[in-house]
Amino acid sequence: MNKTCLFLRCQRDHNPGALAGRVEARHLSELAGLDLHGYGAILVSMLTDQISLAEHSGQLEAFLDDGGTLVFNGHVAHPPINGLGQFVPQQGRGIDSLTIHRLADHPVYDGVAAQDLTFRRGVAGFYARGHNPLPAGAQALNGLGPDKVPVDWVWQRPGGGTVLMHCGLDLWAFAGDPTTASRMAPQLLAWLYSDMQGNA
Amino acid sequence: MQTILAVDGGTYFHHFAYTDPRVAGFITKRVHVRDLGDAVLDDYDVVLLPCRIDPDALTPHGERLRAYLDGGGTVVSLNALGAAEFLPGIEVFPTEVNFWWWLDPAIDPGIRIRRPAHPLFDHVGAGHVVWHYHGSLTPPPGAISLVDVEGGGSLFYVDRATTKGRLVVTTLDPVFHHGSNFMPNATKLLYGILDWLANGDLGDAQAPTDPAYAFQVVAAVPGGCCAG
Repeated sequence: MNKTCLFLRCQRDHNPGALAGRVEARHLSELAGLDLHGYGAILVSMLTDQISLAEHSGQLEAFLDDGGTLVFNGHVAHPPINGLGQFVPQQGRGIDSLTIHRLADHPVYDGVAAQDLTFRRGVAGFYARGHNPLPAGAQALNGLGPDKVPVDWVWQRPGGGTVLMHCGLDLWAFAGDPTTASRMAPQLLAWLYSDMQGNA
Repeated sequence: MQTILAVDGGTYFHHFAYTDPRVAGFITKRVHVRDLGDAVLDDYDVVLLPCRIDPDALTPHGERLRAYLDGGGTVVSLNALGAAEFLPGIEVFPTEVNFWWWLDPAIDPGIRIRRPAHPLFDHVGAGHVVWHYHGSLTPPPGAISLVDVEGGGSLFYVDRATTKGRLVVTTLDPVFHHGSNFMPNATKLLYGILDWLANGDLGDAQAPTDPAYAFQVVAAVPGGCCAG
């Protein structure tokens, strides 16, 4: 069975252009009625009602146990699965505290310059302004500020499945940027679909 | 002090804005939108609807919000886009969002305070409404625009004409930006709006306008927008 990506819409007209035609979009309120076996990945937007999402933790953890991938954007307020902790705001002020540093290679960030994540039109701070704590055993991909606190990380759960965390604006929101940041959305989808084929 | 029921859409920015102690101090009760049906709106002076809440979650409550307004209540919608489906009199036009105007000090974003004498501005500074905005509004007949964008409609109005209550609508989204740890002016605007709603004079939306100050040019607050 060919699996696909499930995008959890937060509003009825929530259809990011970068995902159009590549994902199955369903409103979060439909999640309880969905058989998740047909999906290889679930994409969660920063606009998500996390209180409602967290009520589906059992369903999400079973999906991960089965080898699925969860892509989470935004600040964690209400952890949707065990192992995720609440957002920690960035300390300090100024550009240094908002500078992004590449910590490890990953297909989603292939060819994406850290500088293009730090700055949009010369303005720092769009990409990340704090971090969701790194679980034990997770791999840090991008770090923020002088301490390079991980803001993007990938976690192979001990129980199965993968969590890709991005602590900021939705990765697909950068698809229209006139910089290498625009590579993230298509590379995210390519990574998810190649991973599904690898697991087939 | 007026009592405020703050509706929570479950997003991280609603959570982190509402749990900021300074914001929490203004809020009498916080309710997830899904549980709004269990809340007695008439128990509160103000019902606050935050930015970027799913309109479909509020549409089922449209009749109750209307009855609350007709009973003299105050509804504040920081979420104009989509709000016409659950609140009366709202006409909103999407506009291109310009996050960047402030990079050039020579650019005048065209934002004007129309009623400097309104009690809101005892709590909100003239620079705190100057940032990007998400759409513009055409106030219904009898409503008072407090902030306009020149040639482009209203960004913030108070409507005491459509219902017996008071409907405050804006296309500025301070809960999103404050709750995202993002923009100093958004934080100042949110604190100011809440201080006005909790402690200020709500009953004077028709405040007489001093002709000398009928149209005030607002200057941007340096460093107040975005980051870096």
